[in-house]
Amino acid sequence: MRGGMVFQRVKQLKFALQVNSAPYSSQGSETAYRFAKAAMQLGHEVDRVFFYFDGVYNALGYSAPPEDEKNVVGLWTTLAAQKKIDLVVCVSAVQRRGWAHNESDNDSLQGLVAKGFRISGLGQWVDAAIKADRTLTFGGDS
Amino acid sequence: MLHLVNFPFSEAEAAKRILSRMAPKDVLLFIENGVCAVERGAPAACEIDSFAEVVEIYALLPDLKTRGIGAASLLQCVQIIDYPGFVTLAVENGPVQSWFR
Repeated sequence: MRGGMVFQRVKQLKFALQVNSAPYSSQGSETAYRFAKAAMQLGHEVDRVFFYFDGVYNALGYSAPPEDEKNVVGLWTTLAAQKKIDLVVCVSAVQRRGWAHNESDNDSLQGLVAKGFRISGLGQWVDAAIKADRTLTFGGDS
Repeated sequence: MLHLVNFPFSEAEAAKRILSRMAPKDVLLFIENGVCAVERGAPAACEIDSFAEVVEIYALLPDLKTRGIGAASLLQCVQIIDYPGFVTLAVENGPVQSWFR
């Protein structure tokens, strides 16, 4: 098996990740999370994770899975706190999904997302993609 | 370029559509449900096998394990890789293209 430890790392890169699927209905978010952790363990940077389409459900602050199940939202929150990753939730995707009754009130939207996430626009993804050495997209139908 | 495929090819034509977009020396990594595509006897196994001369083909170990797919049941052209290996493939073979159903 080829593993990360047997490769000789050439250089440290910046990654930007996009997550497009909801937790508990697709594996995409978990794959992105594990990729991010592995990348940072190898010395690379993950500057920003952008949650788009149904991926915004990864940020839902009211998510409360049973204690014996994986807490995907909590995993992202913990990772953001430990590694200072910028977790950005697409405001338009949130509004389309009816998270808030007042679309113009970004503060009320911010109150809906879990700790470590922030509401912003698609421009944040463009900015991350420009600055990153690699962009990866996770979470299409599988 | 690193290509990520997260769904199993249900038919040979689907495999051909994606595989035909790959260039020599590209790398193809099957993840999530996509790892089911590289089992012997899978619907597009012959098409994947035929591309192994042109591109390197990998499958993600944790996703194989989750689905109970052992190394012995994989196409011979497939190499198994873990998450650190996935990262290193992305580092060495950028840009990264995800293919969804």
